[in-house]
Amino acid sequence: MDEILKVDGLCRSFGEFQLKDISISLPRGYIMGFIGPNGAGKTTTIKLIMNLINRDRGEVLIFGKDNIKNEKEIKQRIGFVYDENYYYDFLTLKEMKNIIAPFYRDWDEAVYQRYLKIFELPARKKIKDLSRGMKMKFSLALALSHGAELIIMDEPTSGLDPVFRSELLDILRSEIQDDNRGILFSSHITSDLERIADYICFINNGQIVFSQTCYELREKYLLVKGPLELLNETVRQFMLNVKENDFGFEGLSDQPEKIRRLLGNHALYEVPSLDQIVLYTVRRDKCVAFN
Amino acid sequence: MWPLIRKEMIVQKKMILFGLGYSVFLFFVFANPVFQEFTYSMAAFGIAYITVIGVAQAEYKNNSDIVINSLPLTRREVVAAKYLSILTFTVIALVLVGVVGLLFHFLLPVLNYRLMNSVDVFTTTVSIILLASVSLPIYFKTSAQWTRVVNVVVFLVLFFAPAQLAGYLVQNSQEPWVRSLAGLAGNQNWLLSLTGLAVLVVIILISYFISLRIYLNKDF
Repeated sequence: MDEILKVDGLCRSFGEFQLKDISISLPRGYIMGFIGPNGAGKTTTIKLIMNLINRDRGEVLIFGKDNIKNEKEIKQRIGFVYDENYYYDFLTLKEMKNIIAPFYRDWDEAVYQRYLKIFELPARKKIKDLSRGMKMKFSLALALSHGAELIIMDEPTSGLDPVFRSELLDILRSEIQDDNRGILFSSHITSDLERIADYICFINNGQIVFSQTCYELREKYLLVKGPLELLNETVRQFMLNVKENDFGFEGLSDQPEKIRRLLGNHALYEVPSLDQIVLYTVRRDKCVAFN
Repeated sequence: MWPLIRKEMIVQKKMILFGLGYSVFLFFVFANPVFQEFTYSMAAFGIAYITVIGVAQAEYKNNSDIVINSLPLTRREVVAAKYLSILTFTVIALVLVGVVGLLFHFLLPVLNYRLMNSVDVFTTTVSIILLASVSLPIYFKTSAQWTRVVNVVVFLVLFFAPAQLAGYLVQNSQEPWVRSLAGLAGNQNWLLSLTGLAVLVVIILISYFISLRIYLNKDF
């Protein structure tokens, strides 16, 4: 499979925090959702991919090439959108675009103007006078106007209203119609990723918990509900985490076949949402009681 | 490399207007025989200095290194462009001040201003190179806040040191080393200039390689 992004054994330490042995693989033509709680290492991983921070060990291949040895060439083909505005906020959109555009040999002014129109961005307004959503749209317009094959987005939807989030997801879906492209999209909002991602990569405590297709995830995990009498030690062994209350239990299992065989028709089974997978996996070592 | 230098120009384009006003102000304030000789270099140095500080602060405030290093560039180019942009600012400052001086010379002859000469260009360039050589490694290592402190110190040194040095040389004019230096300056001016130039090149190269080392190891 032609991989647009391949991260292998990436490590970086920052005092107490460690990013351990990160491995990710994204084929061309797909969207990967990158999820994890705050401080899990999403932004650090993205910064390592962009060579904004130095790695201790490991390898990052983009378009099959090392991201440091071929940095300039690779970044010609990457569009980036970050969680905050890092552009000079006292400049107008036009001035900022005039700074960015000359760096890209494939800059397409017509495409940029089209996005400006679609996003209703005022070219003569200063960046600092834009709302958060507008700043994000501006970032996106710049990222999509130079024929980027890989689009890297770090929390682009956080703090945005549902209408713009939906708009953004539609744009990304239309961009990925081109099979030559790939998108890495980090977000807290799992429902956004469920709408568009083909792959989900989940990071927690600086380690990848899983990196799989959405289909595989649906196959791999099972949400189990039942009365407390069913919850014996054998059942617990097949559960990643269980919540208990006076009326029964709810838990996530990563061994669906075994748990179905064990509990049969006595329990209820559901395909878990991404949110539920994340929640149960993050709290893996804790059994949370609720009333 | 050019788009990076161009970026600095766009970021600081308002400084051209400011520089124009600042030069006119200085030409009026320094219109006396004591300061007149230094007006060109002081004005050009001031404009270049303020511009360099302005860019550094804008980049610090907006954390722009993240965007700059996400563009198709190498870190080597970012560092080299910063040094080149300072030279570019110096040229712009000299042109501005030169034009203002020209206007004063012809339109206000009563103030008795001469035209800009090569000594003004040389003094300004040397001062800016010295300022940049000290402050840029600190800028790349720390932040604009520290760079500003260092720049103020270097600025003051460059402003007051020449007068102090000249006074010291006059006081010790009979010392053998002062006499030989004066002889060199009088008879073999070219040798002194060449040595000065070589020292300057070495200083800026050392500064560049220190900055590069710092920037290559930096995390954003």
